[in-house]
Amino acid sequence: MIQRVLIPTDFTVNSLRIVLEYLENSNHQQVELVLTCGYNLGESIGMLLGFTVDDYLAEMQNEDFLKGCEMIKSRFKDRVVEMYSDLMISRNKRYVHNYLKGGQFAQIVLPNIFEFNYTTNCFDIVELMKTSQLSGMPEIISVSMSDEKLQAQDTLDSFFFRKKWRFTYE
Amino acid sequence: MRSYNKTLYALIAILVIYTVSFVAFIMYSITNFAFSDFYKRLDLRRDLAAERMLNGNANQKDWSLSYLEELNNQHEFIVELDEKADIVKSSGFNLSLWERVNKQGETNFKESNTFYSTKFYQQEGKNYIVGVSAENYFYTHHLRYLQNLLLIALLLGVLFVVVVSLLVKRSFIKPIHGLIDEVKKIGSENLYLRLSEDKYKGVLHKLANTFNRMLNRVETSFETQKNFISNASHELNTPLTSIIGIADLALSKDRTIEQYKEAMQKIVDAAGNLEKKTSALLLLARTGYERNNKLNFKPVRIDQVIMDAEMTVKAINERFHIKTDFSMLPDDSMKLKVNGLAPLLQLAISNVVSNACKYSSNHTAYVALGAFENGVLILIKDEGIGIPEKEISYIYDPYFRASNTQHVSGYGIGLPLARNIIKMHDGKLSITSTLGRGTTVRIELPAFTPL
Repeated sequence: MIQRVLIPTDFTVNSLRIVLEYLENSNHQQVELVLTCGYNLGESIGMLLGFTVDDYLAEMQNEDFLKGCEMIKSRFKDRVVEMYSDLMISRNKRYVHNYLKGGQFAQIVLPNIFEFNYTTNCFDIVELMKTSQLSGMPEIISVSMSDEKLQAQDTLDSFFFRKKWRFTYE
Repeated sequence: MRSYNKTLYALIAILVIYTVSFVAFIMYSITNFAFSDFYKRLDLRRDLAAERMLNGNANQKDWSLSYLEELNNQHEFIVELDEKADIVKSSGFNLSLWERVNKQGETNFKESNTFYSTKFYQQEGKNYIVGVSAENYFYTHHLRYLQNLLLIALLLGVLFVVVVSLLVKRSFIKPIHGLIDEVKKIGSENLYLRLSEDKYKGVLHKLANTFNRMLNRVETSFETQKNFISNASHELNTPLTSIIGIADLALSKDRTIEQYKEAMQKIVDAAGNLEKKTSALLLLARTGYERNNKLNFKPVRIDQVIMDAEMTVKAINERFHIKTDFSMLPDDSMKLKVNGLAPLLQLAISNVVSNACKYSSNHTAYVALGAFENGVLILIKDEGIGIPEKEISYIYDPYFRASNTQHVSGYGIGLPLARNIIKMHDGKLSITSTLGRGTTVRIELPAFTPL
């Protein structure tokens, strides 16, 4: 059975490391990954009426982020059935409950230490998930991220040179 | 441009002819209607006049006027004829118009602004022509007004067509002139210039884009041809130095047969390397002479190319270390195939990797490979001296060397060559660097797509 998994993101290539950590350390279950970011719509009627998730996602996902997602899909072709981004547009407890229930998530992946680089209007859903005491919450999977400071030049550096080189010809 | 003008003028002429014909048609239709309608009205009044004159009291004309309005300047007339159609008696008829009257039947005619309707009658053995004449107020006033109105509308219409056509022409031609001016600026000395695609919309945007892509190919070919001697010297220099070094060392004193064999083996390896480079350079020299400016590209496994390039680099200098991260290799190995020439790609990658090793104190290059939807991505990273920010835009120029590279030998040939080779494969090579911290070269190549 395919499990749907919620993974927090800030639409940077760096945040895709959480996805990699999860995939590398979980069992061989087939998964559908939903990269979710919190987005505060504000209170203006224009925002509420004119809001379309696709437009915002198109604006927030840069080319490198999409390439990173594609690379993960190529790397874990047999396990990642689907991978896409989504927005949570409220911190309201009932909304969060309905979002998780409606999305039929089986797992939520939360990093232990990770500094998200949120843009304006975005909010941290990791803290929200940790503090939510909701009934019927999906299983929370904690992934441990290395806290080493990245010295990335290219945005995709962080995506590759993460740990000790596990495969080398030296 | 001339034929373009001709087409435009032809279009203007067609529009003007159409407008004139339209106006003429309206004028003709309305005039025709006004005439036939007025003649009908005259005929009715003529019949009534005849009835009154021939059968009733000739002086009593009020009874008909109570039902029909009198037309402008309306006159009735009666002419009596003999058998030979000569006038016997005439009342109120202008005899100069006698020729135009049909002596046997009905006639409608117009003289100046006066319209006439006549008819032949026979009564009590006598012959009569009874007629009515009147001025057509609609013709004299309203139609004149309409005629003036249509003439003014016609003039304005023609003026509008001409002005709008010229404006449209200008708005069409202006961006084309802009394109022409931009293209004129591009010559062999500044082939790096590109047309600004964002300035144009629609077809012209596509044209500018196509032109830029053509310029990319031309620039790559041109640069490769122009710098072929430098590239050849640069690539052949290292294996030759290696061969000379090994031979010199072997000949410096007497050695055992085993040592000579070992030296010879090293020389054979270096010569093999030299041969590989020569064939790669020959492929490079052929660029631009092939049909469609495309070399005979074949599907190549990029991971294999990277491994071969690493071997080559390590063979050149034993102090160079290469750490490879293949953790993101795709499950499907087909995704690692690119369309290209393995020796050329190997040449490009080995140049970048050896640069990474050369310019870092630990002589280590980190190489990573991954595949996205439509291509492969190779990252070559070092923790070396980096490139000063101000100089980063010049690093693709042949012979350019950054200001912080004096203590490292080199010619500034390797990177431009690598970039040209990647561009030949429709790929992209980009560099990000921080002075003193290191440099990352990102190479993206489109995936092989079977036709």
